[in-house]
Amino acid sequence: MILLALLIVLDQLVGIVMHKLYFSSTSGSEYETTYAFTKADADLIVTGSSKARRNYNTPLIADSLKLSCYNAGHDGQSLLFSYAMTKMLLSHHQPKIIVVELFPEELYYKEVHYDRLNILLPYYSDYNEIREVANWRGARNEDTTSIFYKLFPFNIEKIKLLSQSYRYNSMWLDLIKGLFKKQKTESGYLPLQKTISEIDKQKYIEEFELTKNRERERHIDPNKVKSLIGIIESCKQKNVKIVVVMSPVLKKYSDDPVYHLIDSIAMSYNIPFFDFTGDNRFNNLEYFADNHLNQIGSTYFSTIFANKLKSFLALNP
Amino acid sequence: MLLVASCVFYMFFIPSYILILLFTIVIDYFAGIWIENAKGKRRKLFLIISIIANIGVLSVFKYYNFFAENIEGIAELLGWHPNIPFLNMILPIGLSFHTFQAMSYTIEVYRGNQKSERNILIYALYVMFYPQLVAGPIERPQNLLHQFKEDHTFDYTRIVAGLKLMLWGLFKKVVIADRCGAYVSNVFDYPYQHEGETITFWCGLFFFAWQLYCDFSGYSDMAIGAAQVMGIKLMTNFKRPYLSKSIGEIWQRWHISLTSWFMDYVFRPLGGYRKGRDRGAINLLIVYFLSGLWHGAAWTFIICFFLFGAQLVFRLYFKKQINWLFSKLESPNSKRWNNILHTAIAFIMICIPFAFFRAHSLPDALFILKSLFNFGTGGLSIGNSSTFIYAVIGVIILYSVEIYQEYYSKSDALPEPKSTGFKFVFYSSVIIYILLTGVFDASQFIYFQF
Repeated sequence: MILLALLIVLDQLVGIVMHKLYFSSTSGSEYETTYAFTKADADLIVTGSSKARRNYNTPLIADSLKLSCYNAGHDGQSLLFSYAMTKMLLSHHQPKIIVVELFPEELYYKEVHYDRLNILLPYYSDYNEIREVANWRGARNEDTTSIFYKLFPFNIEKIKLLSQSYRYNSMWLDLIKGLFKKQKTESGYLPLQKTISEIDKQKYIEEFELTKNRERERHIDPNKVKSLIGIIESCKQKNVKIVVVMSPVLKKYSDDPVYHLIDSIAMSYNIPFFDFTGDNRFNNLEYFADNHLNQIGSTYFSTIFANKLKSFLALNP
Repeated sequence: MLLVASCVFYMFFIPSYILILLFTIVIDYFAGIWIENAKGKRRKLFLIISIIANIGVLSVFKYYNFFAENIEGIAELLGWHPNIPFLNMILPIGLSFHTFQAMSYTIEVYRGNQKSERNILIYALYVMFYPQLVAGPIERPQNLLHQFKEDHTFDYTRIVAGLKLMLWGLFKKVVIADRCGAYVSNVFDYPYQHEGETITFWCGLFFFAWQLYCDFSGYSDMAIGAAQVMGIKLMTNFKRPYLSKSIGEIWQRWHISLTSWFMDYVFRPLGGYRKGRDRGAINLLIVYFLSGLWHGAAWTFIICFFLFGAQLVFRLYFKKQINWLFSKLESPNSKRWNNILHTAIAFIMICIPFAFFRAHSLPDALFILKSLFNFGTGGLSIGNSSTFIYAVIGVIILYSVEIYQEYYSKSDALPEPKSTGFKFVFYSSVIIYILLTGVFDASQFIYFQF
């Protein structure tokens, strides 16, 4: 009993300290997430994974469209995060347009995409908007076969979230580092500098094929489909324009069934779907750092994308 | 009650697989009684029936596809095209563990070291006792069976000790093993992306060694602790193997229940070292080959353990030369330096074959092995720096605790404050650290697959 009482007190205390540290950070990933969730007020917001963050030169797009732009892409995240992000964003701000960046294989189930949703947990008690997505961590579909799921056939994430410390799991080091590091981007855009070689490209593709073949995670994730539809419907409700985009990749995989699903969802909601994955203009290694564009590539891509978006906005004012 | 809990636990996985377990339980139960009652050759006959039943189940579920694949491969090389059917089944959880535990029962009854169990429910509990059902320790009937018949009274000290062991096991699993695992995956799942990064491969290998140890010994600690809470004492399965001063010592401290199983039931019956050095070496290689096969139906496991065996054989033949080499490196004045030297070399030696254990395929393993010795290049990619640092902190904690246990307290007790008040603060802090730093997502135990 004493141990339990002490544990609760200590857990609360640690939770308070971590909360303070987290929400008072003025740089780094935590700050940028909080900014995107609660303060972003640009006309155009880009959401998505590292592909969004690295490929969309938002200052250039802003200049071209004469709109303020913010890149809310987050490294390692997926459509699940974009859904939480959109819900948070629309709760405090009505942008003119939201760009949803997708990877061609985005709708496949990936365990790691749920693991990485831990970045939502610090917002769990204060923001209702992210709770649905955060709770998916404990109700991910793949887990139904695991012995742990069968031992605890309820949403174990909700139990873990009773702990205040757990909400900051795997963050304390980053928070301490954030006190000393001043990595901050005004526009959210963070370009990559290196350039991929032909050998690295082949290695990357071979490795991708190998992992694809040994992955057991090759089924469509209903939560991701729900997220895509959720983003579209939330934007429609708030009268916010939305475009779904696939920026260039090293190798096109458009024969994949999930690609066609994305296409059909966009079509059924009458949403523009700009696919650059097979665009020959990007058939040049100078534009790639890895499967992401580098600074040269992202600048080139953003110019093309901004023009395309400008035409779209001219036709759909 | 414990038997019901064990059945429920096992059925969480694939309920129908309990029938496989029941099949071997019934066979071994009657085999035990018949061996005891029979005389002469019939005793051996019943033992063989029991062993065939157990190995048969293991062969069908674990090895059939492996053998079929290899036979098909050889046939293809010879120009034949046999259409061997493959089984599409999931391996029953912990099959290798409880099969070996069941076999040790009939062998011990045959040897006269254990009376046959007449109560089938007690015998079933011996095979199915849930804390150790899926990943050991692989118990012996002399140690475990009688405990199920004894009364277990409430003992505060014993329960607290069991809970502390469980907590340490959980710490090793979620704070160290799974954190190291994140780095290991980055290296071993994408080895070709790290071409030329020699230090990355060495780091990946070391982290995998720590991951494997903390994953498996963490589970063992939790199993032993949980059993202790219920009043059952299970055998020690790991005794700080990475503080060993030779590779031979590592195997005396690593997965003790399996190593001793092979020693008792394979190595010694084959003659051990009694029939000379050459025969002893062959026996060693046989044991390590079987140990590899026990771990998994894949050439990577077989080669990995064969290499462990080869290391021991090398030591057997070149002990003098190895000692001479060490004498050149040792310091006559510093015992501590000598301990560190022996421990570090033993650890590095044991790590190298692990490349086969973790790699996805033989070509991957060979590429990693080649990269380890590509000294001209260097290079370290740490991936996510926080993950790397969390893992390093975890490993430092692991060594601090184990060095304390090995050299200072000379016991398995965890270092803790003496005063009761501080003890509460200490254990609360450990739990908070687990909550703050542990990996709680998608982490199965590596050894569950065996």
